[in-house]
Amino acid sequence: MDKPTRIIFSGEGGQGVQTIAEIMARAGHLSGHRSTYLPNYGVEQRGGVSIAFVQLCGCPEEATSCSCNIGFPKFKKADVMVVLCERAIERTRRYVKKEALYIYDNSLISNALLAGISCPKIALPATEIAKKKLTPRVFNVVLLGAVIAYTGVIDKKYIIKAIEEQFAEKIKKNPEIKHLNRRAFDIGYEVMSDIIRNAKKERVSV
Amino acid sequence: MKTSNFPKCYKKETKPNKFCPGCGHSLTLKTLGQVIDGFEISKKMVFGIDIGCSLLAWDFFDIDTVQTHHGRVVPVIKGIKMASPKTVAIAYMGDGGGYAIGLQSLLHSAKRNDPITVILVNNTLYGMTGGQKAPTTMKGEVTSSTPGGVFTDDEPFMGPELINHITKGKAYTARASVGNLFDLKRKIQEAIMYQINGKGFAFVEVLSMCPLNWKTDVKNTIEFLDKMEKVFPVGVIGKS
Amino acid sequence: MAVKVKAKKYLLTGNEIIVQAALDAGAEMFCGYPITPTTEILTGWAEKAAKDKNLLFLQTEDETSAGFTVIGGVLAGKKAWTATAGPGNILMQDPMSMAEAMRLPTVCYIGQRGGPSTGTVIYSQQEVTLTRFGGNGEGMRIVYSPSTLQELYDLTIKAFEAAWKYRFPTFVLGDGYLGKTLGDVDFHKKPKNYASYPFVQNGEINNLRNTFSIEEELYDNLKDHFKDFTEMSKDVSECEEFMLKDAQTVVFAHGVVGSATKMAVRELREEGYRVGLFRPITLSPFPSKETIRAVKRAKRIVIAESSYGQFGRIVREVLYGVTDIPVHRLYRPAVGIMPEDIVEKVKNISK
Repeated sequence: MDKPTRIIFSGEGGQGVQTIAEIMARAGHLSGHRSTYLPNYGVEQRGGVSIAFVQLCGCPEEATSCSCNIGFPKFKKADVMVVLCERAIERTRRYVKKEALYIYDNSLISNALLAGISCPKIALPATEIAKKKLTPRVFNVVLLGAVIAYTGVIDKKYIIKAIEEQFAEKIKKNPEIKHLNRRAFDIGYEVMSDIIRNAKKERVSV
Repeated sequence: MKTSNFPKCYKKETKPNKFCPGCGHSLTLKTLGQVIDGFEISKKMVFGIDIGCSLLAWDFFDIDTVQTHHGRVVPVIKGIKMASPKTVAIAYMGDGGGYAIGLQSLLHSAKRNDPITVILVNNTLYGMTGGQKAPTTMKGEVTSSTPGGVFTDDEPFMGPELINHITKGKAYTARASVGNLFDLKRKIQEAIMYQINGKGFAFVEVLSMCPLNWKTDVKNTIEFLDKMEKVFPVGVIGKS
Repeated sequence: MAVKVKAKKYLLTGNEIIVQAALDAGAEMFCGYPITPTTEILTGWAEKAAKDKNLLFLQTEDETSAGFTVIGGVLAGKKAWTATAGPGNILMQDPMSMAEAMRLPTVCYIGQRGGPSTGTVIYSQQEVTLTRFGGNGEGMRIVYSPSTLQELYDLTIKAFEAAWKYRFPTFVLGDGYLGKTLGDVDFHKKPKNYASYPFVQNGEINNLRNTFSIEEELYDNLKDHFKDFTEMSKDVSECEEFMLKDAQTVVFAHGVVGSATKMAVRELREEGYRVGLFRPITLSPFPSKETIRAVKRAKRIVIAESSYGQFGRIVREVLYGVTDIPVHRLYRPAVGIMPEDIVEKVKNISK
């Protein structure tokens, strides 16, 4: 029985946490993987800590059947944590396990606050990268690129298609949005791929 | 051959009706029956009734009738009209049902200008439960829940005026009295025509009698109704 | 191990799936009031109605009015329905009790949220008792409890079929986890559709009431309804029995907790635990016979639910006097129960 890949995205409401989670589930679906995405937030419409739970089955793309244990959309421990703001550290601490990978935006979160998180961590200055190379608004997609590169479950082409589906309305009004998000995704993907390559060279596990 | 003076749409096997002697409901319903006969709509209409003494009319007519819950006849009748726009939809309720427990639905139906006709019978108290204070209870009036009389600034509820205000005169709003059945008939006619002509929400408040709970004899009943007509002005309040 | 076919056709949220199911079941009219976590059903239907003039929609002033307007639509012959949650479910009991009394087919989706009172806005299983028994009556209602997105679709369609076939108020008792989850679903090609029919303006003169003058008259009326309800129960009650054959531990769970339990059972089986799941798909009528059969060879049972025993009370009532094996409770009101919780519980009691 295969276990699905489980990812938690968390940040401030409005940072685009739910958007990238939905893109990931959508890409999973497009590639033939079973996927679920559950948003989780409080009563507030805006401004609370926003959490998203995503599960993706781990079967190879060409598989015609799947016995991954997916059903319930929430879970206790994530394989990958993506944390976009300082407030989310405490809110999501309970979902962290020792073997998880903790990806955080160190342009928004000071490293000192993560002393109590015991799993491997990767600092990725997504906001800074997006600000410098594109526009700060797409920093969430930079992080998505990093997650996809790390998990390796979904082929890039499905993410690109999912991004186009997700932003279809916006792209219609402004075609530039497609380009921006694609670039953001590629940059995140490359940055993470480099990190993984270097880690392999140095025989350090991330 | 003319056999009686009663409306043809009466359900004969349920007569004499369930209302108390002297009650204004039977007068109001008889007048409504005459209008229904005159317009020949008995087969094209649904008569919805509320809780309170009005519920006793659930089998009053040989007409499709639906008895609902307290304050809920307006949404049920709205639902019927929505699903079947050709049906003439008439809601019948008391002052407690319309102005207390069901006011929210009454006002929103009026505000939406739903094409339904609402007839509300006002006898200034809750008749079925034994004469408690209603939104329409007048100053000084003794009821079983205001044994000392109403002496506060609690003004009686002016339903048609309120509806006229919130609909900016778009709805048909009128007040009539069982003291003048000719006038009552004309207003019920207008209120039903308002719906048939697609003009929207129509509302008639009927000043009515409850000698049982008023604890009045014939003379005092008539005096009570006269007083009501002074407090609640009879007439067409608004129409477009 | 059951192997499922991959890649279902559509990726939708639970709330979108419910709207699609209603459309596929022939629903024509929706009246409702916004409330988390079911608002997307109202707005989803509003969007459909804006594009299709045959679909009727009304946002009412409150849930009570929503339910009564639905009843008006049903009386006039439309397949009308509504959706609500939590405090809205309380207000909805006024119209649903009238539907129960007058044997009107209604469909109401409930997205359970935490209670009492305003509680939380996304998840719980605390509306079991309210949905089964709300109102001043005997709870002659049909209540489906879906556990997956696919079941949200399938059981919503079944709810419409059952309501118009048997004329009892019918509920689909979901929750915000199901409603808000985005996931895979397949649609039927052709659901069985029972035609709707008018209760007024149908060629006869109908004097419909829910009030009676004398007690005996109401008693006779209720006896007829009970007879119909009992007869209908055989056809309608449903359950899922998963790996029960040699199970020493039987976990009882319903709704989305049933999904979590199924995952837990798979994991525990891999480790050699003889455990199975009994999941009622209808909470009313309840699959009592199957419940009794499920524990025949069991050594212990676990009842898992996101409530403090609302579901457990049904199970224990059915099993009263049938068995004396220990009953373990995993009652977690208002919070989710994850597969890990069930695994842990089963391991603890199997020691």
